[in-house]
Amino acid sequence: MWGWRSSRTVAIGLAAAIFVVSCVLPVASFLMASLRDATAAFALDARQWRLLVNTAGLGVGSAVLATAIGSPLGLLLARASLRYRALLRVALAAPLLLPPYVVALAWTYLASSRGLLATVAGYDALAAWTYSLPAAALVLGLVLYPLSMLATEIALRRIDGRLEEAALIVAAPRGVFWRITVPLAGPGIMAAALVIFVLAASEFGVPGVLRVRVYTTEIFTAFAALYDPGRAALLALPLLALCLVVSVVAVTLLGDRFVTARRGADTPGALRVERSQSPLVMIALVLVTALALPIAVLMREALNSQSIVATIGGSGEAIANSLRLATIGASALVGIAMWLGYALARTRGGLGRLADIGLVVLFAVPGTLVGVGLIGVWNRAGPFGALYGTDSMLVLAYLARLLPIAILALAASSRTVPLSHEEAAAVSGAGWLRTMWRIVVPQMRLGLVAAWLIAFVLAFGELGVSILVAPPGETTLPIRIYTTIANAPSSSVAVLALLQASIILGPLAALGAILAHRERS
Amino acid sequence: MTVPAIVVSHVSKRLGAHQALTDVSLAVSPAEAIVILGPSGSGKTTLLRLIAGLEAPDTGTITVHGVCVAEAGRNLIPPHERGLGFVFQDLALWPHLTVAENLGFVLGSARMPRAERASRGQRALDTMQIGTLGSRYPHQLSGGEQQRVALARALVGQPRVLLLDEPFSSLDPELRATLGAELHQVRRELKVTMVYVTHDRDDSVLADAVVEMRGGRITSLSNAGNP
Amino acid sequence: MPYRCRAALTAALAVFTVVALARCRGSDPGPRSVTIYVSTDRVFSEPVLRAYEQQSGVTVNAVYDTEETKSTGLANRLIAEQARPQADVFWSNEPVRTLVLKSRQALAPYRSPNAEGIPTALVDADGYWTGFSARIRVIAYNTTLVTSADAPTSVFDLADPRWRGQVAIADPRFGSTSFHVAALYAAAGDERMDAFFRQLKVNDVKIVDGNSVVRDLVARGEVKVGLTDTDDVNVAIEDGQPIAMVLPDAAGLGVPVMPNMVSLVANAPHVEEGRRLIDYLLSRDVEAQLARSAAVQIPLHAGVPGPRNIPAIETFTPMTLDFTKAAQRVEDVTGRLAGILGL
Repeated sequence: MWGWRSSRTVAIGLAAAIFVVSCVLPVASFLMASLRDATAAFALDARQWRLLVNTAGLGVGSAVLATAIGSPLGLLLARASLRYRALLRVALAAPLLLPPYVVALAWTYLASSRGLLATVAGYDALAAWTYSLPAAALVLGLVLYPLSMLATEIALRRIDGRLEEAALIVAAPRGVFWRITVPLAGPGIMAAALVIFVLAASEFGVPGVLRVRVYTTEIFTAFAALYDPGRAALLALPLLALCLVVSVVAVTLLGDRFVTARRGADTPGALRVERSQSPLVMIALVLVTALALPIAVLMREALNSQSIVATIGGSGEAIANSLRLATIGASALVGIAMWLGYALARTRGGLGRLADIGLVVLFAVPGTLVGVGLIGVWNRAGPFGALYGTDSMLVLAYLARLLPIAILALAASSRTVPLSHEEAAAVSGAGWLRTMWRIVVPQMRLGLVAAWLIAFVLAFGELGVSILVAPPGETTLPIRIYTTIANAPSSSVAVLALLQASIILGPLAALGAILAHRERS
Repeated sequence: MTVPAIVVSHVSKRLGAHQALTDVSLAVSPAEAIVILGPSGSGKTTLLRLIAGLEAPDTGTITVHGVCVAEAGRNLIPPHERGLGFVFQDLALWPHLTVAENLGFVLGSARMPRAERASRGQRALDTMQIGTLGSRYPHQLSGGEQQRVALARALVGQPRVLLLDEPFSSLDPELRATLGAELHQVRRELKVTMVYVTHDRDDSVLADAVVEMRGGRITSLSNAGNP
Repeated sequence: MPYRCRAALTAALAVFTVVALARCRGSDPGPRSVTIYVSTDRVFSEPVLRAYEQQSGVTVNAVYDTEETKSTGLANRLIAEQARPQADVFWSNEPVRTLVLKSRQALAPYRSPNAEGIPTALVDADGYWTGFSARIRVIAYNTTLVTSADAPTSVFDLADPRWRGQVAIADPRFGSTSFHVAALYAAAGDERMDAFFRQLKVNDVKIVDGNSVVRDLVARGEVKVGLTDTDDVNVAIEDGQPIAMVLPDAAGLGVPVMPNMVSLVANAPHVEEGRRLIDYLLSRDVEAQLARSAAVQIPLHAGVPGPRNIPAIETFTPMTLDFTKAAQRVEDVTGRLAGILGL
């Protein structure tokens, strides 16, 4: 339909080139250079296998819990009659704004032997559980469930209501829900679960606080204790292999049977959640557990701070930098990922599945490796070097870290736009760019907004790569927070964590209000 | 006295700001085939959806085989308990299920043993002359084949009433005529009541009665061959 | 999407792009500037560098570090940037990073005139680093649960069964703790130290994220004692928390003293400014400033007033340390402890 010399080739080629330079090249160059220099033959010992099993357990546990919490909430947002839906969506998504490390701290303030629970109960009720793998999975599940929630809501909204109506003719709503609705929404839910798995498996801050031994600490140790990038690169391979296995399983289960589902215009889902107490109880329970409780615990600690003003003071520039750079980063991410996501969605069969798996594995590469790779690629004489030492490096850091997930998200969004719509435009005489701008992109706008929001939140909170490439003399809020808390009382940690969450909540709430207005109109 | 298969009595329905149906009354005899004819926006699809239970009437009542299934403001009997088959305009074939599984879903809801489900489903496919397509997915079929699957799925549960919403609108005239004839033959053999919504007068040739609608009201009711 | 909306969106995107690109900036705008990578805690180091800026008129572009378990640190950044260094000076708060950088040829020798008066054991013989403003590794204890008479006086006391489940240490693979344990292995021998850590494991030692976490656990009473640094404990004391500290092994191996270390980066872009900043950091004024601050760091120049509550370096016996040997043991000790402690 679109020839090789069309604008499609140019646009996608350009986006692909940016992807390769910004995302693939740093990782590839680091791995090649480090593995070349790695001296020892490599094999995991029994202890490392145990750590890898722990990491897999943490990933699976977090993904299962986040999905168990998030999917029902996404169902409610998509199919229940809720007052103040937009406000609820923002509130339910807010836990994603809290740094996982800080939520883990809040958990210890709550559940440790001298924590709030023990003080109120008079004994250490959670003695065996406070510092444990299940606790780490709980913390990560409570922080990451909004990803599952948003993915579920979007997936449910995309279902052609006629498909559910056709099933309602012959089956009770419960049967329709499990046999029709859930399988159709399944790919979106599964994709979110996969992302949560990778995020949890790559995490070492939360396990560190909760004293859970995980494999990612081995990679971290190779850098931070041994300054041995070669060893770090070797150690990263089993982690990448683990994510490869999980993503192969997920992609195989998803298949591409659903991708050709036609989406009826203006046909909302036929299954609705009836108004009752249960959804509201569930929403209240989640808000209390995942948002109100950690914030309350953090505020209690923060009030112990002898100088809240002094703690916050001087953060103005960091806040402005973070907002500016996260906005630029999220926009760049969506702007590039949109074309590549579209290309991925239009790629059928084995090649498309291979690309899906490759992107998941790329996303799983530890941030430190990405950061060191970025330095290797960009810190050189010539045009690349002109960018090094500027805050463009932070935008490049966000691209390197987050482009894979943005492409996957927007590929899912592109798949809902029928190819026939493009064909109709082509037959009508429209070129590819015009078709994209007037036909395809408008139908993706919900996915684009969701992708932008998630990219903004992740970019705002990014630390592992940023700290390696941030230009001297300039800082982002997470960098400022983490460099300040290195020797600060826990009360100051709490103050700064609440500051970070509240700063990011403002723009998201505004965006949520805009979305709500569009929903109503 | 024979109980009518469907009785629609003084039914009105508002969809948003649009009055889709105004005081519509209609009776369909058992095993009768009626065609509801009208231009787009005449309310014919809305009427079909009310009979199916996918919407509730604002006023009036709907009765299926003597049982009141809907009254003003609510459905008394849910769609899956009304004994219906429905062919949607865009077919609504479930994309994640094979052809056999699409039919199997209908039979599974009837709590039928698995072996009987398989044989009944295969018979339905054979009846529609697509017996070899059971293992394919909808997106792997041609337009005509998809139509046949939709019909097979609507009939496999042996409904007492079959509702069709412009089922052949996207087909060429020759295929329309072929499928139309096959449909009526199957209907007569199974003695199924049929309500067929269309905007094409040619589709009314095989009907027992023709109902014309315009602007949400019935404008005429005639027996086939007696306009 | 209505045409008006699309046009507005296109215009907004164009304006945004122009503004965003115009705002992208680098960090070296002025004629005189110096870049320093600082692994010493920001709360202590930033005021020192701001004072230098005001005093000298030189723009100081600083990159600060996180706690050692939060990111892989500036040392790795310096190593990665070796082909084209961005930093002029490296200021570290513990020896391992500096010694690793020296071994990777990432540093350049510079003997500052302000190093005069600093004990020779705390100045690199080859001139690649100079020590100043030291911290001490201490045993912290909760004052509501432990009296000063009962508090342990030696690191080896922590393996005593009476402290079972009541001892916290930072992960010995990272930061100042890694240096401390490497120094202990170098000083006391592998057999004794392996046995000590095995006993600690039997004693259910809590291995936590960092020295500040040790301090917090002790202050909250979740454990009674812990191994941490003077500045960590002092922050809690200033915050009014029930915690105090003991200088360990004053009568045995000696008290472990960890100096800050400052170095010139090899092939630094601003060598002269880098040297001037090093001179400043090694001055008595800076040592006095750090002594007065919550860092409570002990001046190495004789005659500079020390921090309150912390004994002057002349009044106790520091552990005799060969920094290079200790740093060389880090990898081996890290591996041993990973096995012994189940890390």
